[in-house]
Amino acid sequence: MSDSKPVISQRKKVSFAPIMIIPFVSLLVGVWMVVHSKLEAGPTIKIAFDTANGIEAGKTKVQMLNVAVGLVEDVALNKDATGVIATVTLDKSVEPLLKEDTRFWVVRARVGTEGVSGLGTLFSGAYIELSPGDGEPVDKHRFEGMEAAPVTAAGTPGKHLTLVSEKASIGVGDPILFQGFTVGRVETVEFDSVEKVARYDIFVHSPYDDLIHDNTRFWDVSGLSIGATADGVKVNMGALESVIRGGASFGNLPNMPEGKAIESGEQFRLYGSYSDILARPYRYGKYYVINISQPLTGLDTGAPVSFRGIQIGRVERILIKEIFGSRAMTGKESSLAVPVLIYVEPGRLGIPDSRSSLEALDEGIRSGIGYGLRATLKTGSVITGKKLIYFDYYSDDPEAQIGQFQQYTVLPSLTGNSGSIEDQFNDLMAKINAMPLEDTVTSVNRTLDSISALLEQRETTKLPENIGATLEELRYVLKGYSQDAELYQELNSSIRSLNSTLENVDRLTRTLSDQPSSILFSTPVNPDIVPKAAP
Amino acid sequence: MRKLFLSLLVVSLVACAGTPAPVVKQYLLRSDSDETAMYQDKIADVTLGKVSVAAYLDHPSLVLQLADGSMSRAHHHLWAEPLRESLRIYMSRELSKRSGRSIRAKSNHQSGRYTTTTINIDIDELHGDYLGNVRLVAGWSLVDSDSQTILKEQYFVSETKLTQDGFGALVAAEERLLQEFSQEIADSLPR
Repeated sequence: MSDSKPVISQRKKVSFAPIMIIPFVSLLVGVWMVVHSKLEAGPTIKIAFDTANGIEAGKTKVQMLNVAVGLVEDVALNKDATGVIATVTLDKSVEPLLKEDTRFWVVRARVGTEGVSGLGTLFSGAYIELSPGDGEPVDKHRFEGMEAAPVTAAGTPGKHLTLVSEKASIGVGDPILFQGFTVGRVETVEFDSVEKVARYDIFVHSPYDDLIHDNTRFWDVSGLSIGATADGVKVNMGALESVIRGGASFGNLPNMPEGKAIESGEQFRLYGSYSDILARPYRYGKYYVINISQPLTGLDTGAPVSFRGIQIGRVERILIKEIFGSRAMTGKESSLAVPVLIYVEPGRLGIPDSRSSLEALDEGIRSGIGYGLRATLKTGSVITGKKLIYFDYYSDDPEAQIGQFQQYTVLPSLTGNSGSIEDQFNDLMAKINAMPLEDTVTSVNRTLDSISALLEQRETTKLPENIGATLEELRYVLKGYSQDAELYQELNSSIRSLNSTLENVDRLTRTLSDQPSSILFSTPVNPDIVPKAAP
Repeated sequence: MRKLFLSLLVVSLVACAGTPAPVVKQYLLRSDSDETAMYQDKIADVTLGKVSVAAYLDHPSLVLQLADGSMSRAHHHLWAEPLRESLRIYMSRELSKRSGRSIRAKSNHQSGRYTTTTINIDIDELHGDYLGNVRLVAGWSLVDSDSQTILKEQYFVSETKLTQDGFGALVAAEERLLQEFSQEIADSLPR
């Protein structure tokens, strides 16, 4: 046995205090919390508003269907200080709702013509409402906020349309009516400063949007209209809401086909009233300008424009302001032609009331100019003196060109005498005025003086006496032929004798005809049958 | 031969001379009213206008209707003047007599401007028949002279019987019918 000593090695001990686990765990929890918060945190977006009224950082919530889905983290002015930028942190759950057409607006207490809303925010404070869009999801972090709630929620089935009128009569939120039922709303109103018209974006809910076709007409039903006719006073009013707030109605014209179905984005004209539609039932038309060098007395707004007696449009107005506003007065305006704005509608010719028909009519007018198509001013009524614009072909008229006046096409016109009775009468009066009446009257007076001198002559004064004597002689002569005159009696007696002789001759002629021998031999005459007395 | 011809001529002339000449009687239709009577003019001035006769009467002969319906004209009994003339005179006098006013026959030369009413007469039938009846059928009318409108228009039909034989009795009967006719017109004149 060996006495080797066992080698004892002592392993180095690592000391680990149990308390050390706490920071470790804390670190893990911290990392977990950071990662969790990063994973669970919603998107942070910036929303631009006109004003921060009612929006407070850290307090104002973002809600959707009364559920808080975010919080305003910060409110700051934008770069040019024309608005504010609200930084909002949203819940992760609503991140899929952030789309291109997602809209935000501030809900606060409002009192207006459209009603009272947002009273609850007087106590809870304003909040930002989120309206999810139905477009494509986008990685978007900046949105334009709205100052008021949108009229139509995104995704609502229906059609967006545009109405155009020459004056603003309805406002945002006003109803769109069909036979008195509210089927849509006006969403936005803007004024087109270029075309000087008001444009209204409206939304018509489904399924009422199917009521709108190509030939549908919209008209303003704001307020009420009172008209006096031969039948009495007539009051027209729409729904109570439209009377108070205003609104537009739509429908189809009687005896006019509905037309084709429409798509969203179609544009319609907003007429002032339904009677305006009946007066101007056609949808498509085009403005032209006619230069007239004759007096325009009797040519009123709305006067007919006709082609060989068929009305194709109306006179819109006389552009007197435009022509005098576009040039300085020179004192030589006697030869100035006054432009008259006319509106030609293809539907009046019986062709479809469509844009293609309008283009075809315009092309026809342009080509017709080359064949002598000219406009003239004519008298429509001799009694009233009303005038109209008359189109016809004048082959002897020299070539004319289509011009341009401001934005309108100028069609050539014939100047000079229109051949109307009124013009002829004016010409006649001008000729009468030009006659030397004073000289004529002087000559007549001189002649009358000569006649007076002639009548005063002695021979002339004796003339009636001579005539009287002649008549007396004539009466004496005629008296000899009167009924009581001897000559008349003799003539009468002679005529009677002649009649008697002729009767005898007649009798003799008949006797000779029956018995020619009776001229030599007497014929036996039967005795007359003697009438007998009645028994 | 010559003697024979002369003998025949003499015999013929003797024969003609020996035929008795027929006796022709003429009758004048005249009223027996007093021509010089002064009649009082009434309110309206009346004139006798047109007096016409049927064509068969416009003949000098008196007419008799026979049993077979034919009309027989007398050769030896004639009107002294055309009936259309004598009727004007006869009716004028009878009407004046029966109406008590002067009703003159208007000649063609009179203007009639002083006349308010005109009497027009159409004689359709005036003859006797083989049974001794005498018949008068006539139409008459009163015409407003100013306006030429017919005020009254009637037909007169009457018959009478011959009381004696002969044409003189026929003329007398026709006169009686004409007097009756005149009375009817006179009774209808405006006062």
